[in-house]
Amino acid sequence: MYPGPVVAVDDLSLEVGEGEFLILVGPSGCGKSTALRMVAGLEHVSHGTISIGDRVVNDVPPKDRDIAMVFQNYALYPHMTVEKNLGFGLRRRRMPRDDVRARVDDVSRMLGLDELLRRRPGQLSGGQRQRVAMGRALVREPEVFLLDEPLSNLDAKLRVQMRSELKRLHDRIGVTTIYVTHDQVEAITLGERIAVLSQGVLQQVGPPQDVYDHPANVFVAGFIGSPPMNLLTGVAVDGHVTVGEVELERTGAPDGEVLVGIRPEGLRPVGAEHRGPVFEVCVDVVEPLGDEVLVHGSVAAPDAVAATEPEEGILAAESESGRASVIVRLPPEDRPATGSLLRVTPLPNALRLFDPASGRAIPN
Amino acid sequence: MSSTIAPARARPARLDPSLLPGETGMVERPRRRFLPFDPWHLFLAPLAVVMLLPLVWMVVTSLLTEAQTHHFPPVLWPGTPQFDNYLEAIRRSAFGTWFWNTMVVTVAIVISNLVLCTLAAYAFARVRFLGRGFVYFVLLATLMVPLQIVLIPTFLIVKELGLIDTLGALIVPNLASVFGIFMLTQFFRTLPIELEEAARIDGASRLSILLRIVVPLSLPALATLAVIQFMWTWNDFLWPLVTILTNQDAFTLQLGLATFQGAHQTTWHLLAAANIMSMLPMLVLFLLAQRYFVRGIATQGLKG
Repeated sequence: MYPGPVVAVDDLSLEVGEGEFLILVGPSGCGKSTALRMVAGLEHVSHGTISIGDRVVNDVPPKDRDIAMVFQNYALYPHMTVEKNLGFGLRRRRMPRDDVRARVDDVSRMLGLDELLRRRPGQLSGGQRQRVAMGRALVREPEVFLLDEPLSNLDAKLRVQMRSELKRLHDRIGVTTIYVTHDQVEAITLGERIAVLSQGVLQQVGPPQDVYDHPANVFVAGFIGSPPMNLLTGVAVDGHVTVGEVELERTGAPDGEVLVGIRPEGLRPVGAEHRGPVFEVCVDVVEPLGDEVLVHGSVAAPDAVAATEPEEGILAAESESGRASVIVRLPPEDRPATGSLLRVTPLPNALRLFDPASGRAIPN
Repeated sequence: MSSTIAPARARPARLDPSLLPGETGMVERPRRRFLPFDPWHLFLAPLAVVMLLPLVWMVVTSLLTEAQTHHFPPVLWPGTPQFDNYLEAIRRSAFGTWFWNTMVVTVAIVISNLVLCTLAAYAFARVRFLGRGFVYFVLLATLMVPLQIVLIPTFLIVKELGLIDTLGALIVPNLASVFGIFMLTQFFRTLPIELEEAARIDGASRLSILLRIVVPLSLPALATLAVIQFMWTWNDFLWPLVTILTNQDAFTLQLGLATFQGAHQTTWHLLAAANIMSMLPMLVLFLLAQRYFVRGIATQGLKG
């Protein structure tokens, strides 16, 4: 498929606990699908080991790994009925006919497919196909469940619905699950732990909230969270960080240039009487989202944008205008007018610092 | 887009076609019609007649008396159709033997082609092995070599095998065809690989994947190959002519039909009758497989 040898996944070390729901997330082409396919046995592993339970499975063919996989395009056998699709894996494993039927019945009832057993995949809607694909994996009662972007072919509404259904399903059957997605919202909402990948390299693993609150590097800060974390270039002297003209709280940063990250909701509007660090945001665009308002604007500070595209490296070029773009998340009643000046202050503990050379987080 | 405009063109009775978006997405002017049918028919209908003419003439000839066949100008309509010609053709020749021989050869070749080409094509399409690209290229290159060039070498090989004057001489060299391998390889490559990966995870072996997933999904391609191979084998004249020298019991239909055409005299009415009978199996097969055949060709973008 690829011309010449390509290292798609490099030095990935991950342990998934029994019954855990782990999410592999990253931009497209980051190697997350390849990592999943390695676990499935569909891709060759040149170095390292893959173990399921106590068993090293590097040289075990896919069928003997006790895994089941749901593909992005579902990969339902188009010439077989739903019933045959569900039972295919069991019949290949020489399970007696009656047992196959019993299991297929169980699973189809659980997923609400009992009415559709005689239909072929071509006669099903997207959501139903997705459910059959899930059912085909579930019916095998595997030790590990692998899901490769299972929701990406569904429309937005169905995706939200299936997302919660998936979570409920996992809570009920408790199979160890590895779930690949490029959608960070899906990652945050579904996973017990998420692993962020970029260019085949693991960036950070942890519970979603931890990853969101304390991104390990600039890439994660930019990738997890929508809109992404604001990144500004500042200078640290004796632990005091200054961004543009604004002096921020005391931190543990070493002297020199430093990247300051603030989540859009980490900035709070304040009046003229506010004492403390204040950014004056020149409002360019206001996006009302109903329950909140996103304010796009700029502040007088050198810009630093985290690159989420692999080919751009970890940091994109700094803008030359001397103004850095920021996004502020506000409640709808605080909606400012376009072109106005919005005074905001960073909330306590909202600041994250990163080393501009390596992109790594500096502990406060 | 075209689906919305097509019905409007076919019957513009209720809707004003000028109000419907056209193929370009813009409103089309109503077309002025001089003819109650598509103007293309003026060209296509005569062409169809030209194509059908030889067939019609053959049917007519098969129903003439011998005297009428020699008449000039040609008789275009037999006064009383001579259906006896068909019986006569069978009686005066070994038609039954020829038909049987041709059937045996053709069925054997079609079946073995379906099996062998499927196996080879699947290997080329999905199995990674050293030199796969090279071997495939060499195979394809042999497609470019004209039959006349390989005729004598193949004859010598068949002779060494002791198959001259037997049906084996017709069957063995054609058990698999490069064309079939090529066609099926291209088709297999279009099947989504995820289906096979899913089957692998489901516990299916290579052979099981081939038989339960790939083959059922390739029925159009297989039907196409079967029909094409059937046609080629059934109609082949040159190779049987070269390899079946004296043994009349091993004659195929095409060889046998040639015997109606002597050095001094040709019994045209009997030749035509025998010809029509020899065409029947192919017509039947084509009608049966037509749906698959047309779809199969379309799927592969090959020219029929």
